[in-house]
Amino acid sequence: MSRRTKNKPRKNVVVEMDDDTEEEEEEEDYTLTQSQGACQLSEKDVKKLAGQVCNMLLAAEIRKSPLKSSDIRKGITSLKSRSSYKTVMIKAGEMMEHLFGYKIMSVKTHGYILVNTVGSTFAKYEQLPRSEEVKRGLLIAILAAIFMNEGKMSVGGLESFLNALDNDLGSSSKNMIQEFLRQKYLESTVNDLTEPPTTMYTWGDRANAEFCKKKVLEFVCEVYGNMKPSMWTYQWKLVNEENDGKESSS
Amino acid sequence: MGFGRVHRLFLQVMLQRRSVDESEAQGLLGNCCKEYGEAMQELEPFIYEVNKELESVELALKTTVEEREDGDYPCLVLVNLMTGEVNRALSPFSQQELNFVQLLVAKLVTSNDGEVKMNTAINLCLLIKQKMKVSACEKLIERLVEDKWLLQTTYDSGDVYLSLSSLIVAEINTYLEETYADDIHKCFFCTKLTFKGYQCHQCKVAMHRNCAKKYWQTSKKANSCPSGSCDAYLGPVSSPASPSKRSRVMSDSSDEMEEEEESMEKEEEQKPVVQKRRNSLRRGKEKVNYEEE
Repeated sequence: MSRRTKNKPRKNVVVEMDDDTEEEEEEEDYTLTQSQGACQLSEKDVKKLAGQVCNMLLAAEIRKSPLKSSDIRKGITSLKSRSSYKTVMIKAGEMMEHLFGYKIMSVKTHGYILVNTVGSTFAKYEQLPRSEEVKRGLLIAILAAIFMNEGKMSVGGLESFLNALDNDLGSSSKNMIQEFLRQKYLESTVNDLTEPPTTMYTWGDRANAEFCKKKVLEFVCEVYGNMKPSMWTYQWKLVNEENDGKESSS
Repeated sequence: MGFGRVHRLFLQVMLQRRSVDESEAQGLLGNCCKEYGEAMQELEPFIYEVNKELESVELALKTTVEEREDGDYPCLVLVNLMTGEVNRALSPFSQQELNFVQLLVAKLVTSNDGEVKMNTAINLCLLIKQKMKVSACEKLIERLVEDKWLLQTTYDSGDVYLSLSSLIVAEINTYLEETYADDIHKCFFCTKLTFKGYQCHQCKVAMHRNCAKKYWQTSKKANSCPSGSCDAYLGPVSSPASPSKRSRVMSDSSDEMEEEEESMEKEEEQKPVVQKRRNSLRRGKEKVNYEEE
């Protein structure tokens, strides 16, 4: 297999794109034989295709579904080669940030979501319909509970927590929880070691990108009344890790 | 001002809201400017600048007219210009739901005055290929109204009607013009589509209610068809069945009363050459009660 020449990605967009590419390499070996050589597309083509990718990303974001890279390739058939796909995705990332202030982020299993770089400013202008407000309230409760439970919670545990908040909230929330999983707010992992195997919920990629753990901890302390965030040692540690992570990437 | 933070914030809001009354849009722009300490911008040139950039992602900000119960409201709408199989797959609605919407749109476009009774709409779910349960259909309609694809109006009579919103009209404009070329009407004055406006049966001219009102305020022949060659009489006629619905408010109140009475008589005398949402049939049980006037 001859070596493919890759366009060098720009530094500040690197991390997310590379992760995705590596996973793709394993998945799509069959394209390597076709995709040799540098990107075949002209600058004008790249811009046009990147624009279409942006359009698709925005459409997927309406329901907060991650946009799968397979969908992108299906919709934009001229992206057969690895390098043209990568070039277009990088251009799309630039366009999203320039036009809307959104960052494209890879999520597990070959998808992309949009992360708002000015989320706190936008929040002042957001007008959510009632049903969305309700969902968001539930989401925050669930994320807070999982976080306070040291980042993991079993299905049963979550259900009891919700039932404690309101009668039957646990069972009536099942559909919304499925939606949160699809939207990558929540992630579920199965632990085979136990008998029977248990499913644990953790924060998903989208939750990690959109929610600030520090604010969640402060919110919980407010609910309990007069508690200092640092009193929760494990959670406080997680908050500090998050802060360090943010500082090193900026 | 070059394309920057103000434009991005404005676009983020438009992405979320999709359709905003033009009267609010200027205020929103003002707030976005204030947010970043920038000087106030005029809406029209701002939109022009934004549209130049949006071209690259096949989106556009367009102005459409939303025909609500109490009048016509110009709206600023963020429209997706990219069409195709893939986009349909990314729609927040399933294929079955889209089939229903297609039927409902057909019904609305071919209706007399751009409105369909809720029950009629719900029954359409029995006609689509993969049948939909009534309960699912009701939920779908609720969602469509919440997401601003449809307008829902409840009249004094208690009847609930659905009609097309500014968002859906802007978004499927091309589809409407192609598929329903014979059924749709473009306003004589502003050339935008109208579903609830006046329609002259004599010469096929149509007008938005507000466009007509503006014209009649200054024209010599109030209430007549604006087309040079046609002299037909066009509304206003407040429907006897529900006077609160569709009452057209004209500028001169004294003339107004006379005109309304006159029009009542005229209606009985001349075969109405023109119809502005008639349908005592539709109103069924609320048949004529002229004494109410």
